[in-house]
Parts: sequence; structure tokens; C-alpha cells
Amino acid sequence: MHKIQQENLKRTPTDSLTVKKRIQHADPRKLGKGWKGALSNTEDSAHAEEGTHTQNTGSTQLREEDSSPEKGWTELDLALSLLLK
Amino acid sequence: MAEWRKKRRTMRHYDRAAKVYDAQYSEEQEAKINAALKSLKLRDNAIVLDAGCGTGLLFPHIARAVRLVAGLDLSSSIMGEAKKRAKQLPNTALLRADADQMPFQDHTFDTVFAITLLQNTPNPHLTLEEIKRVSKSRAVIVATGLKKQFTLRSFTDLLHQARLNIKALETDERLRGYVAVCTKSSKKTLKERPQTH
Repeated sequence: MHKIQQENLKRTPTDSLTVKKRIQHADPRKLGKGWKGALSNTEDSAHAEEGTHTQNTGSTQLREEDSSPEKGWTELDLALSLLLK
Repeated sequence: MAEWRKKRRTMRHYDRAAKVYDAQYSEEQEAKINAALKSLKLRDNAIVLDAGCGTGLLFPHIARAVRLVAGLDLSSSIMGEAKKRAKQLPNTALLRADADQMPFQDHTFDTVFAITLLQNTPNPHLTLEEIKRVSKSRAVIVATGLKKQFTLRSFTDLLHQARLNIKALETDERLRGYVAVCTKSSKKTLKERPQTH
């Protein structure tokens, strides 16, 4: 379990998606004690305070997604961003 | 330091004036805008910068005729007013930044408006250089100069020193400012060419 969490922290947001899926699809019985914590860490972080950066991979992932053109940006935001240095 | 002192003073002035700005100055501003637009043809795919956009009085005049309008100002309160106008226009984006150090890439804009800007910046030469940096090589630059602050001579000298070609100059006495429509000069003038003998 610890191994997965540590791995999770080291990974980039893109990689963390794979890790998150792995945790979700893993058999809890095989993960042993504390698997709930690992899952809730990833998922509860979806409600983490906006703008705060924690070591939690889930919240980093959320921040990345929120600032991506697909999730939060309007076409206008995107157009303006292309003009910026 | 002195430059930032002036910028802060100007910023505070516009922060305080934001709510009453339109009531007080819209007539004067609209006159300048109309004078500028008379001598200007906007292309429908143009990317336009309104440097020192204030409450965004220019936006409704141009937004529907161009591809994108970027409004930039340093005063947050005045940007709040501009936001109300920009909301109704799908292609108008706002950015709070210093006109002397704009966060845009080089050669970005087809047209740059600097209406009621040069009299508010500590070093208008520097402001014009920055405007030139962000504008494309064939860009049109519209600049105004408050008559209280500039004589016609000092205003045109300022534009010439920035190597801008004045294509049209409105000096109508009903206007409180001069309105110049310029292009970027690509060639050096005779005076500036190095002497060969």
C-alpha cells in the first residue's frame, strides 16, 4: 500500500490517472489494511480547497484538469492565452 | 521608482473614478473613438489590443467587426466596469497589466488603440516602444494625446521619434485631444540613416 502511495506522489499528473485507475481496480483484499485511505485520499481530494497545492496526487490532477482547455476554459480564454508570452 | 509612483497615482485615480467614469468622460471618449474610426478600416480577422481600455467604451464600436479584442488596463476597479461591457461581447477578453510591460508575444496585434493612454504613462516613449513590440509589422496604431499635456508639435514629435508614420491626424478643436492613426515605419528616415561620408 505504502509503495503505491509513494509511487503515486512521485508521478506526474498524467501518470497519476493511471495510478488512480490501478487503485480503483485493485482488489481491496489484496491491498490489505488501509486501502480505503488510499482511495479516499485520491477521491476526497477532488473536494480539496481550490488553489491549494498539496502533495496529494489527486488534487494536483484536479488542478491540472481544471486549468485545461477541455475542462474550464472558454474559447476566449484559450484565444487570449495563445497571445501571451 | 518615480515612474511607479506615477503609475500608482494614476491607478488609484482610475480606481476611485471607475464608477463615475462613464458619466463624466464617455462623451469625450466617444468623440475620440469616432474620430479614430473615421480614418481606420478594421479587418474582420484582426486581433486588436485596446491598451488602457478603461471602462471598455471602445469595445462595442469594434468587437463585432474583428476577430478578437484584448482589453488591458492597470486599474482593477475600472477593469470591473470594463468586464460588464465585455460580458456582452463574445470575442472581448480582459487582462490587467501594465502597458509598459505587456505580457503579450512580439508581433501579435493587427491594430492597437492607445486612447487616453500616453498622457497617463510616466514615459510615453517607452509605452510606444512596447506598443510597437506587440504589434505586427503592418499594424495600425491609434494614439491620442491630451491637448492639456501635449502641444500638436510635441505630440507629433513623440510619434515620429517612435518611428511611427502618421496616416491621419485629427486636431478638431472640439476634441480635447489629438487623435493620430499611424503605421509602423519599416524604413529608416533619411535623417536616421548613418552618414557614409
